[in-house]
Amino acid sequence: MRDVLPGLLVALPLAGAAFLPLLAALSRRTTRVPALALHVAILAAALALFGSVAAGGPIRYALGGWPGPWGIELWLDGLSTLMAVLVSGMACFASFAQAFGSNEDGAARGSTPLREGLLRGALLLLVAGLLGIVATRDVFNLFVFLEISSLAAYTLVASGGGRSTVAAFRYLLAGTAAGSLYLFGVGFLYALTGTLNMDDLASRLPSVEADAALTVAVVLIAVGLSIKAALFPLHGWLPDTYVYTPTPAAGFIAAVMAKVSAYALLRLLGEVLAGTEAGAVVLEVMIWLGVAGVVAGGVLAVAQRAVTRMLAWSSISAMGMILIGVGMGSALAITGALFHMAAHALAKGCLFFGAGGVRARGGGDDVERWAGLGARAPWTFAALTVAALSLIGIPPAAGFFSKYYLLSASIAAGGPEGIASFAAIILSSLLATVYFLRVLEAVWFRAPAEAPDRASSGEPAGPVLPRPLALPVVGLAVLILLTGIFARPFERHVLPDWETGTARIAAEAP
Amino acid sequence: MTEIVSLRPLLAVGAGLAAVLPILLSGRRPALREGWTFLAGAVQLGAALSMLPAALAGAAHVSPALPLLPGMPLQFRADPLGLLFLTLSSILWLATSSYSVGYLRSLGLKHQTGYFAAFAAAVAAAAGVALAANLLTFLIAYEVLTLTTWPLVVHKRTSGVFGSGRSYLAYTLIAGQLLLGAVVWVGMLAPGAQFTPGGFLAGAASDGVLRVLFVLLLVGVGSKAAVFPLHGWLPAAMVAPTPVSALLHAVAVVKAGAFGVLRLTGWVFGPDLMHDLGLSLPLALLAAGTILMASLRALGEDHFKRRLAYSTVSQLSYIVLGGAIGTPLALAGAAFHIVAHGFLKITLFFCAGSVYAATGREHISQLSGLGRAMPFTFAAFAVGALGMAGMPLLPGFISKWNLALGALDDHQVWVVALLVVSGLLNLAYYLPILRIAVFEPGDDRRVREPSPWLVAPPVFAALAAIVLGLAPDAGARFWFLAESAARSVAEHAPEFLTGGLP
Repeated sequence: MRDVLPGLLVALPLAGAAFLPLLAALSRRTTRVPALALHVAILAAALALFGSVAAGGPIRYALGGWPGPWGIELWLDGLSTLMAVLVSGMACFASFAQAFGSNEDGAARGSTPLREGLLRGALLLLVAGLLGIVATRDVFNLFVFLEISSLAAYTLVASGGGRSTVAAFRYLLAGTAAGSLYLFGVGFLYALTGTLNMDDLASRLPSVEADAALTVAVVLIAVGLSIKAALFPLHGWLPDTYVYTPTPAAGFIAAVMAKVSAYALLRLLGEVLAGTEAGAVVLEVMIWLGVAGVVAGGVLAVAQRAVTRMLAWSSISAMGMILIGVGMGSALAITGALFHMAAHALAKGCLFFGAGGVRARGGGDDVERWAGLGARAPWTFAALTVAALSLIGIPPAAGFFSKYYLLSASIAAGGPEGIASFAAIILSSLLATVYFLRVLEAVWFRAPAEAPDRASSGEPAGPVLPRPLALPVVGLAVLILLTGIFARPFERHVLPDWETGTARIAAEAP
Repeated sequence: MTEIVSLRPLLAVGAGLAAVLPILLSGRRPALREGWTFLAGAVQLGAALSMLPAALAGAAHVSPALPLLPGMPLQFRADPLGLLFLTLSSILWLATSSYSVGYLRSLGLKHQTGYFAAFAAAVAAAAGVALAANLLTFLIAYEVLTLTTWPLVVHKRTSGVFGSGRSYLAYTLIAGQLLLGAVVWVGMLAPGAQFTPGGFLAGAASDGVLRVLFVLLLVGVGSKAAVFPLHGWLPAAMVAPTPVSALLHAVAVVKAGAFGVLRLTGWVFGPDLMHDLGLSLPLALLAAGTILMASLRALGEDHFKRRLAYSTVSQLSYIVLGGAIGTPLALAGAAFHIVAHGFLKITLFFCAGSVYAATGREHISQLSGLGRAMPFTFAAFAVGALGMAGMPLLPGFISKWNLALGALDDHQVWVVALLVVSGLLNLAYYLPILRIAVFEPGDDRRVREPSPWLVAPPVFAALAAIVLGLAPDAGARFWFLAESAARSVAEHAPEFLTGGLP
């Protein structure tokens, strides 16, 4: 198992991405079942890897049998398998939404089996790219997977037509710039050390003289990945992208896309480049930018009237929190950052599926038009309420625990940046209280506004959101609660790997 | 203290929580729906009473620990103070439930299913606050309590009500976040942060850090306890239906805050450390200021429920005062005042609600003649009012007497003067209500007592108060619990004044 699964984890979605559109074109029938089956298979592989790594330690896997540092290696430890489970699990929900919810989605009206097959292929390709980033141990290979995932994401974002094309173009510009900066940085590193393998890099870097070239390399890599991770003030692409992406893809992209880039930042800056002087400075700057992002994202989320745009700004705030954790780098901080990746992915996915579903059914995006929806779809909105409370940080939902870890890490770190992060995280919870409870108040307690256009056109009441979307929404809410309550195994499996990993790299340094 | 690992604390906390879903699902059959509430209340009370013998023997039931965070489990422990609060809330929950049935039916309020569901969840959260074994568990229950009482506060759903609801949330959730920050901090300084009689923070950090922590924690619990200047939400929250106000004041929110202050002073910092850090006197002065300020505000308030609300602000600061003084008798008096105020204030609110249900009147100046038309209700009201003022033979006297003795142990003579003045102020704002109701002629001869559902609960609560005043240790052994809670704190503070308790 251990010698097949890592390759399969990346190969399966890649092959599926090519196979599904072909199948759709040849059979001219819907491909929803094969697509869903593929995603479930990928999730199964990720879960098996997680279990195997937890039981038997990290796995090093040489692609094509070429060992590192010459060949490309995959490296699966607690950290990367956790991310793989998160990505493939969210992909299952998105695929389900895509398969059964999309026929009511305005964006996909008049779609043909071929077009659907292509979009499903794009989702698989996105998953392949993200899983590749998570698993690879090669900095250039990481660039390749970054581009694969970005291209697939542009397609999915643009598939809504209209404004989403503009959003996709904007995302493309930012993403291309990010990719290029990262590639330049990798080029510098290669010129300095002559290697692309992360372990090899980490062991050779200490003997490299700390000169301007190394600083430039570190900064380029950090800026490139920070754009993809929407670190404030490099977040410009995010709000429009999240708002205008069609629902199934929005739920997935909002949940995991930026987080995988944050994971790459953690791998490269927190582990491989941690020993360099520039790396240490960049990490400290990242804490401060994270603090700024946490506050700015929260304040701007309060200012929004549209639910999806509010959620998008709340994501910028959340990414700030994650990057604070990455920047601090202590075991507590990394736990908090990882936990928040999971907690936020589950909650944001849930909320975007819900908000997108309401919008797709003509319910509008404005907070005021959500008035009274709770009574019409109690289960769905109870689930959305759980997600919102988790993001505010109310126990026992998962979001509470990530904040707890990050607050502890801030206190342990001390100093000005510790105090600033502590205050920012508390403030962000308060701001989240303001913007989420405004929505919850409307949903549960306010009477629905009389919409004259609806009354006159005699539009049937119907379900509030496409019924199939209720399943991912409710399922994710249950996962949020379970993650919160049964979180200890998470810490037990993921952290030791991280600590031994960084300790190993530190030990290899002369 | 011997610990018995058992599931009973979980049963006590889980009963209300488990009732939420059945209540929501039986919305179309009101009789069944209310049946779930009463069943859960009975289970909770049964669980509480079943843990009493262990407490009498000096042991405590402890639930198995669910590890949530490193060194910080979710755990419930039925120590004397927790058991006292738990027993009180289950008794008053049952009383309030039967009152709610009559109140909601006679006024024909909407959304009754959501009401009973939120009520059950809120009481479960209050039970969680009562039995929390450490700060993390306390924080979780405390936040859940805030959120589950919010739907109850905004139950009437008009725009003014939403404003009050937002003010309620603003105070309590901001305080909750400060509490979160403080809990994290304490968790870093003292792993586990388990409530320990006599406190566990001594020597854990520099004096300055400990003072900052104290302020953060105090704001966290003090805003629910409506300590001045954090009391603004409480009069505003009077927009809630009366049974909700009764619950908020007697058991759930405000009382949970006062309970939190006692936990903070006696079980986190401890009287020793409070004195060493110079925190006792400022806190006592803050409580004294709150007592006087709220009493004066109550004098000028014509709205019936808001006058009661200011009275609560004032009365709960007795509990804060007892926690601040920290001598054994003062702590016992404060703990007993949780019970005394619970029974008395719920009586008063029930009476205000009955008046509203029978006549629609909300202001004190409109009460003329009602005393003769509604004799049972106003008899109960008289018991509640006199008890609040500290009349001997009623439970309010026992708590104030012990508070005064405890203050004298610490040579704080001014506290006695404060208690006398405040008692007079209590009379000054309660007696006019009785005078107007009983001696002024009424204009409406058709007013009668409302349905028995609305008359029985206040009469029951008033009778219970009388029994409690005559025999404070009868039945649920409230005085014993209060005294042994205070004794446990005193035992762990050997250098400190331990006079008073036999």
